[in-house]
Amino acid sequence: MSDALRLFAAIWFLPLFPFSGVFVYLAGRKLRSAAARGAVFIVWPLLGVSLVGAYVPPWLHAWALFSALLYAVRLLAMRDLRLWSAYLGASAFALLWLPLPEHAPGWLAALGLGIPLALLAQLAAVLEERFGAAYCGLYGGLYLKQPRLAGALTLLTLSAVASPIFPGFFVLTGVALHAGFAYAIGALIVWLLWTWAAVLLLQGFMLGKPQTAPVPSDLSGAELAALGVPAAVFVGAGLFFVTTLLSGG
Amino acid sequence: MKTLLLLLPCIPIASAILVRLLPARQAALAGRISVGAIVLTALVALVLLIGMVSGQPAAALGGPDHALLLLDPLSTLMALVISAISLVVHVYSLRYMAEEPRYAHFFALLDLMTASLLLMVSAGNLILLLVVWHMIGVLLYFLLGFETRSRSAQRYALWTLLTYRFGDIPMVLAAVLLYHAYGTFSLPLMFERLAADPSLSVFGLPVVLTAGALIALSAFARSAQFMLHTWLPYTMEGPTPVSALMHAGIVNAGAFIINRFAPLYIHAGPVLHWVFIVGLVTALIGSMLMLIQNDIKKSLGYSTMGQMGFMIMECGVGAFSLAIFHLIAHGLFKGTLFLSAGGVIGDARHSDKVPKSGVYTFVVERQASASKPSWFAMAVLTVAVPAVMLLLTHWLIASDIFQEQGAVVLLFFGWITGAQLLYTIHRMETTDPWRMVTLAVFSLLIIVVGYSLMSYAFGVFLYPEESMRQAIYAAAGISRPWFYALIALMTLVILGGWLFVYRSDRDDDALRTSPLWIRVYTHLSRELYVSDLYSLFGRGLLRGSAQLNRWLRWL
Repeated sequence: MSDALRLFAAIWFLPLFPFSGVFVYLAGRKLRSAAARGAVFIVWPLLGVSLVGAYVPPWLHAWALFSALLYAVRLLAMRDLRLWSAYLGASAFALLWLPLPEHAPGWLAALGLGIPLALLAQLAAVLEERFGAAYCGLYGGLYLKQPRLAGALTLLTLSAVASPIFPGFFVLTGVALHAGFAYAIGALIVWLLWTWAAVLLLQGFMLGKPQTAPVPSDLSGAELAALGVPAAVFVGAGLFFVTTLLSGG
Repeated sequence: MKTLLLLLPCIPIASAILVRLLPARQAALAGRISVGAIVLTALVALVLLIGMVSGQPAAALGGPDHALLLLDPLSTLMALVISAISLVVHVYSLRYMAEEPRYAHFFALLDLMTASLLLMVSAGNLILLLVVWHMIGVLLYFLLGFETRSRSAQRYALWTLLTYRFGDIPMVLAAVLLYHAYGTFSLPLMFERLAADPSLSVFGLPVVLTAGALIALSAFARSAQFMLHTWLPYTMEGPTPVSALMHAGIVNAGAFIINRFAPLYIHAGPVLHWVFIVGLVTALIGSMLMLIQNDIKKSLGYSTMGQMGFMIMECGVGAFSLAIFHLIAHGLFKGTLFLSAGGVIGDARHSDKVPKSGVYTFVVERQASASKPSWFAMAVLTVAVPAVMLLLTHWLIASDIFQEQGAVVLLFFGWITGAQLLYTIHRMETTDPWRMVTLAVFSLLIIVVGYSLMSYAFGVFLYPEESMRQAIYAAAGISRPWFYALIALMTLVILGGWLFVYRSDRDDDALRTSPLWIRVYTHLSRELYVSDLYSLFGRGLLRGSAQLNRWLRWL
């Protein structure tokens, strides 16, 4: 495949605005099944990093940073967990364009950013099943009535916005290390906006309106394990591959 | 010793996991386990410090080329301070948080925070430092926002997290520059290469100066320097033990990080001058804002801001070890003050009686005074006492102290503290004012001379090589004309302040009701609008975000 064609294909999978619309539509709106959405979060960036060649024209770096910043800003006002994860994915995967050629992102970096979003998609389904919608601010007091669900949501959200010691943290540090200095500043501002958006999202679920009776059930032990075990393995793998993640993944 | 160093953060981490896994009905046990673990941690830290004081050489876990943790005077000293303050906070929390439904969760968070702080002070690797530097912000968010029923607690916890994240950005950028310039994440190896070639440039930027400035900016966010201070006074919305931990330990990270990067700062003199100015402005504004507070915890919050200003200023004049001593002294007294404030607030909530103690009678009932010393005598005393102290220090400790800009801090600290004290005494009405003045001056002498001696001892301990101590002072040094100009300026400011007090007393309320005074008071009472500015920006960004989402609905 020629370089130009390869780059054109890649901008759909490490989505750049407005081509990101396809990814957002699929992951945020169209696909109803949590498993399918989870698969998109994992497969989409994997396809993207496998398409990105060694050469990325400089103007594309600027476009990627613009896309990442745009979705990070849009994330601040987003309250629906489905669209929230899709916007975060669009912002995060766009950042994978930034490292300089010798540190082009690998599949570990893509997985480091995609897996928490896939797990968050499962959790969104759990919330929708119990409350009818995974919409923050619609019902509050999650930590009081469903402490396991609240704990899982908190940890997975932190993981998705690349907090330490989750692999995303090392991926983002790697991006900052191997992008140009100005792009590193831009990537770090995107990271800051994610944190802001994550806290607003969590506050929307934890505070606000008290839940009315009958109160939906908390996560069962099996459901908790289904989310917790992969998350724990994910953290362990991130620490094991820390050097690879820091050098581009 | 290296095993003990590894144990240091592992004990609180293990305790956090254990406490979290306990069944809900075992909450009381969780508190006891957590306290036990911190006692053990403090003992380990004590053994490490004793080892270091008794001549154990500095070492790195993993070797200097792949250092993970550092065993050096700075890390061992800071580890003991952190574990001691954490222990006080843990013990206090046992009963203070007893009615909290998430009791065990609170102790798990406290343990994780202690472990992160311990890792921060002993990190020998840039990546580990970045991880814990970032982690502290996240954990602090959960601790400050622990009171989930309080909207304001949540709001200010978010502010704190965002300021911390803003402070993480320069730290990551500094790591990027240093890694590209020296090709390693290991701090000992990096400092070795930096000493060999401090003039490298990366991305067209001078590495040492830029990284120094970025680390300083990160330190400013952590230590609430002016313009990045707005979160600090509002951390009072969190539980009192968290406020204590925050003000006694976490906020001191600025001085620590500057000390940790001392080998870099000896080549970044201009950055230290900037650090001095930021610290000075913070000390002044923090003190002014403190004066107009009517809430005990908020007043203590602004007092911390002022103290952090002093601490950063000390770094700016090259008195790195003095900053560490200041950090420890401030940490211990502020931690206990906060816990006492919590006790006072608790008492006040349970009883509406105003305690009619001796202090109350003296301050509120205003006993008649026999006489009042003249403003001029007090002004002369304010200027003269620190100058005498400086001469004494010069004679007792170091004959070349005039060449060390630490002398400025000594004078400035003496002047500001002395002026605060003597202003207060001058305004008080007491039957024997000169007795009180004599006692105050004597106390000040003991404190400042003691401070100088301790600072010297700390300097020898933290930087055993004389050449390193000299290099830090040399980097922070300013030319002699600037030194004298600064002293002259400060003398004028102090005398001007006294003239102001004199006029204020003579004209009674005329000055305090003048339009200028009211305007200044209004601006200060609105905390100089800094937080309003940030709120405006935040609201604007959120509105913009919502608008973008409407415009780009399908993209």
